[in-house]
Amino acid sequence: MVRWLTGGSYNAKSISRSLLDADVIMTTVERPTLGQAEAGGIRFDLLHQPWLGRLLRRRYGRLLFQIPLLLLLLLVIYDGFTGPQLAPANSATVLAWVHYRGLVIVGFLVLGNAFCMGCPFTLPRTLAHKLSLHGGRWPRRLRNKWIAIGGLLLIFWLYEWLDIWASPLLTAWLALAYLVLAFALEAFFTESPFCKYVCPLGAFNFTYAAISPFQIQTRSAQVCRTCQGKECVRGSKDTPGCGTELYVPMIQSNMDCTFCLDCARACPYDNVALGLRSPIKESAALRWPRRWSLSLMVICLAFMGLMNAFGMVPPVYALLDWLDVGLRLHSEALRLGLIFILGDFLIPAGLAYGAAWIGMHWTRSRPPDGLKDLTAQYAPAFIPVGFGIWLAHYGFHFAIGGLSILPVMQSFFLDHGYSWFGAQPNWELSTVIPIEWIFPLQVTAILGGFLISLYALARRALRPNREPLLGLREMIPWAIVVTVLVLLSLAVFNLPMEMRGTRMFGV
Amino acid sequence: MKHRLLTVMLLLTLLSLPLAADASGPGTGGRRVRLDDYPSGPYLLRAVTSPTPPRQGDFNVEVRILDADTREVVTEALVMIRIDPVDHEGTPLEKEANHAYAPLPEEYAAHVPPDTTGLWLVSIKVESEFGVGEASFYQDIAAQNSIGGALSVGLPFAGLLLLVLFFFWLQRNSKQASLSK
Amino acid sequence: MSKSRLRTINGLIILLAVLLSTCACSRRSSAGDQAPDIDLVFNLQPDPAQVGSATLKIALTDSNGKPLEGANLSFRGDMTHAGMMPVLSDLDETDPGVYQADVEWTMAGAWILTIDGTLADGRILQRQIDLEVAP
Repeated sequence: MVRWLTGGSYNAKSISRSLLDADVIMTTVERPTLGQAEAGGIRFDLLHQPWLGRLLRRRYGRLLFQIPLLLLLLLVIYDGFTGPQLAPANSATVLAWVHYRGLVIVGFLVLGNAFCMGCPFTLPRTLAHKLSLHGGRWPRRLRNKWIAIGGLLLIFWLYEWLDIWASPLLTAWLALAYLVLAFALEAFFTESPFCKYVCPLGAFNFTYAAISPFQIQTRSAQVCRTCQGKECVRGSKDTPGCGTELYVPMIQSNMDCTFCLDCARACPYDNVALGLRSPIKESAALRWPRRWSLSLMVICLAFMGLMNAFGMVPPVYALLDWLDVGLRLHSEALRLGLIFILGDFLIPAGLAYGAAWIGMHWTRSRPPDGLKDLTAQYAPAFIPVGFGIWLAHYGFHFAIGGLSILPVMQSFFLDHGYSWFGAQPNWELSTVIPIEWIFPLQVTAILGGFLISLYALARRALRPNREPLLGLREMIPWAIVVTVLVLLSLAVFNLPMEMRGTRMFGV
Repeated sequence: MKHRLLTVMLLLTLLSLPLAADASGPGTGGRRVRLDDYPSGPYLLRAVTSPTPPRQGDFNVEVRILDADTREVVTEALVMIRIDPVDHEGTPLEKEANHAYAPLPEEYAAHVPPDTTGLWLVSIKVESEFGVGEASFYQDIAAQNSIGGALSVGLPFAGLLLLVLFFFWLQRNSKQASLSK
Repeated sequence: MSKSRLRTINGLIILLAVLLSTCACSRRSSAGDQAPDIDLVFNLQPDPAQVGSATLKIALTDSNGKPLEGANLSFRGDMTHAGMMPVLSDLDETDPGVYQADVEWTMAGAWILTIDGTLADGRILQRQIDLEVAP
């Protein structure tokens, strides 16, 4: 059976079942992928660097990253259940809410989706496959990002309502729930649906991997044109193909790419590169799929950055009190739910819809899919500003408390009778950089992201054979939304923090 | 055209770096203990200054007074705070510290804004029925942070305005190009 | 059932057993307070607590109400969020059985105070107190 696959504009389309089952997949790749030129024009390929490249391409190369993270995950679960129920003194909360969040954000700038590369939650997948529970395809109606958006809303709401950040026990339960859910979904479905459609961490990581300097690319498009086996997606004898069913010659972004490098390991022609690329091209130039769920996920994540920080400053408590007294909403869960549904989803979705509507009417344009087209056109420009806001928040916690893991681990070993790392933990170890540097760095991150977002909006508004002023009219509502988001973020980060967490369950 | 746009954006990004730390941001605390139960006559003085760093035109001193024998807080005293410039121009200033200005009701505080930057000598004098006590410390006063804060708020509007102006400039250029054709 | 599947299931069961048995181990930190009979009265000035300077006083008495002198105590104040800088201080005995420290609440919000130390008879005292610090 022969199937023809024409090069599309984006890799977000799943390879259809018939293509995967075909004996031969012939391709016409219409244009080179981002950052790649014909005849080995990759500027810098991480997979062909001395020792690191060999390590990454080895059959069990990914395990070398997954095993340390698995051990850390087990530590989080163990210490969360059995250790002191004091967040600053327990490795569960310190590793999850200080180190993971801070390092994953920095990882995007340096490499890309580094956490998904070493994700320990996918290890149950291998076990699930070995149990030979024949998985079906993920339902077609659920092949979008709505569940991921819902998962993000749920996580952020639970985080604030249950004060998960203050509870090692709840942090451990969350990690365990992730493991169980990943196992269950991987056991019953193919196509890594947990990663691609469900995991909130994955949704966050896929979105902000858009600004990473590396991307999976082909070393030579000609090799892919003549390749008959398509092992990068179908797998080889020893190596599975892409878990999220991305076809390497069609990859133009990091969306849905877990950086697992199975494609590189499976390719019999060593034609897959982890190549350097411009970090802003994906948000400024790439044509994204016209899907509401994808566009809104990107836009909502930027606002979630603002709301996550808002949850830790005094005005949120004033708002909660007003909802309690003024609207007689006595349940904290309901009050927080209302705040986060509004701030994380309804307001950003409404603003996006409004900006698209205004832009369409000001320019009297009629894109084929109407508002969905316009939203997809400008949504990627929210990635840099969203990244800046998350960097300011997560970077703050890492800067303030990054070194606290040292006394925490000292204490952990002392609890078990080992004084290898000192008999007296130094609890004064906390900040990574001088405190006076933090606020200026936060402002720089937010403003830097804002300016790159403006650049991205401008690039997307300028089209050949269209007057620049028409582009301005179409784009300006979006620029105003981004500006308001930035001003609110600067205001929130300028407020003093006030975290009113409570300890639950056994303290 | 795209390179010019990128250049403009990069320049604006560079301008966004605040020139000095704004200590009112979260996590900085804004206050610094300068005297910690310092023996001064019949008293133990604790002095806290804010903001951090203190700036020209903005400097507060809070004082807590303990009886050195009983370690009880002294709430009925006359507390004078004086600042004098050290080896540079500046106007000395002396003010009475009171409970109303202090964040804690048992303490005393005064707002003593220096009118120039540089090193200043801060002197605290306490008089009550228990006797007289004096203490002093040096304080470096930084320049007013007029640039970082303004940029942090003004830059978003400036960026938006520049973007609009850039598009108008592009429009004019494209019209001129089509006319010349 | 195939041998491979059987091996995998066996491996899972063994892993689970190891994990459960590990969790059952007692940790020193969970058996911290060796003096539950000691009464601790906590006093903070100003009260209610607010950001800034404060004086902490601890009064220790035994079950007969007699002040406990000679304890070597320290104080740690943690915010409820991981990674926030703690406030640390030793407690000085100012009166028989009364121990005092000056502290600085750096941030508003929920704090957890841990009083930790050794009594004159060698027993370890460890208590935690929840505190809300106003802005």
